[in-house]
Amino acid sequence: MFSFRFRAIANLLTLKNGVSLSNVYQNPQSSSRMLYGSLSTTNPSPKWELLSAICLERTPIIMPPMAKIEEEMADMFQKLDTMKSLKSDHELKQDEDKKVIASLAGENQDESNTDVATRQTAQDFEDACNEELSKFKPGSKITAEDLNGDLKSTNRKLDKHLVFVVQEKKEGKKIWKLPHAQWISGETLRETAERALKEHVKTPDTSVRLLGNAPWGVHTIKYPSSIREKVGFTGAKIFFFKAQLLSACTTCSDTEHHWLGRNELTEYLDPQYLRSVQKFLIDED
Amino acid sequence: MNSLIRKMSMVITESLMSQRTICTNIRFPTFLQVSSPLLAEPMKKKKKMDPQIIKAREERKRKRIEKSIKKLEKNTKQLKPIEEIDWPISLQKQKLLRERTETISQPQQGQDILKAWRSYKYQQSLQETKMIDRISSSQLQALEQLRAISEDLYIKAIQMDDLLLPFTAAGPSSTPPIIGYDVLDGEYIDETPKWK
Repeated sequence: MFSFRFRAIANLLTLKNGVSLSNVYQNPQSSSRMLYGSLSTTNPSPKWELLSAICLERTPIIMPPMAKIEEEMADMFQKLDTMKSLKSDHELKQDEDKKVIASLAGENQDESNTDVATRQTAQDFEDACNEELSKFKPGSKITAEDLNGDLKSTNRKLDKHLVFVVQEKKEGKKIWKLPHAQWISGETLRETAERALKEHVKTPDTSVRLLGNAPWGVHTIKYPSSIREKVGFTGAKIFFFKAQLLSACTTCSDTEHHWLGRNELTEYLDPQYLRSVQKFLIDED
Repeated sequence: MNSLIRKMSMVITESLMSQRTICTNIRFPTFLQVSSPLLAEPMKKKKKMDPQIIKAREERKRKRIEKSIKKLEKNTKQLKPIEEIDWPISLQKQKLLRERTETISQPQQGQDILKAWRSYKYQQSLQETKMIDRISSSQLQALEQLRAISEDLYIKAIQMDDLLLPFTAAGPSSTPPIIGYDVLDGEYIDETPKWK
């Protein structure tokens, strides 16, 4: 039994590379039936349903924090640069002020008081500048949505990528996946992806940039033989198209959706599906 | 002799003055009194210049001056080659004044940091190359499978996307943008063209 299955798997793999068995349809008996089925019919050209999915990403807004080695390096070069540089006008003025104070310390007390009081030293100017800087409050790197974990907003994890994921109800099960649409003859796969996007995101309000006409990845789903005869296809192939979100998206989608970071993707997507998706996503720490 | 002549002239003038005579000669012997105006050459009559010629002359003068101004301005517009550019002379004189006296402390620590940095950057570049290979292989795989399914869709997929290039992306900043921040106009030089 075991050796027969082993040979069958080897034969299947030679037929097609990149075969993946979707978890949704997998159970041990049906999988063995699938393999036997393909061997016996010896179908040379299996028919695939074409689906086009869109991977919409919100790119990072702020830089990630520096690693320890990067900080040490930056420090070192800062010190080296100041050491090799020449003094600026501001620093010359500071030196002059020091000399003035040192010389006035020995002289008449009355004269020094009025002189020192009226001179605007370089230190005064520096203090005034620092005060002005402290009054400015930059935007905080950790937002409110970060703290309360609102997965529907794009205003969280500002230094990381967020992927747009929608929920699909199939046979009573709720599955999270990238928004997809079925290919209609007469349109290119890219147009199918754009259609999938329009169904879930209000495109005139939010601006989105699709990256190219070619798909970035593919995921194969093999139907069990019972469904195969009913539908007429051996399975489905989902071609992924990548897009970047250019504007902020607060209420751009009415459907059940999440904006997930890389770690959260592993929790929400199916393992096989996730593998196909992760192949074309940019690395993150 | 002289006194005799003088007496004679006085007698003549007195006698003449008694008679009714008009005479420009006043004194002996010529009885001619000359004054400075009579010594000079009489004035030449000034010819009236043609106003058009005057205008033409002035025009030519103006043009000559404007040409020379343009030539000078051209000179200043031409940028100096970098080899010729030098520090402002005032700063050159102050160089000694502006030099610092501090020295490097702990050179060994600097070497350690550089070593760690080299290996860190090398690892980073390895990972980036791996990532690029992974992503491009995923795309090639997808195109291969698409080609196996339909040649027509494959050809449409490998068309160049004219809207994508030229590609610009604003890089991440160190802090996020503040919502509702009132941006003030900075200092600027007003360059609106003025028409006469």
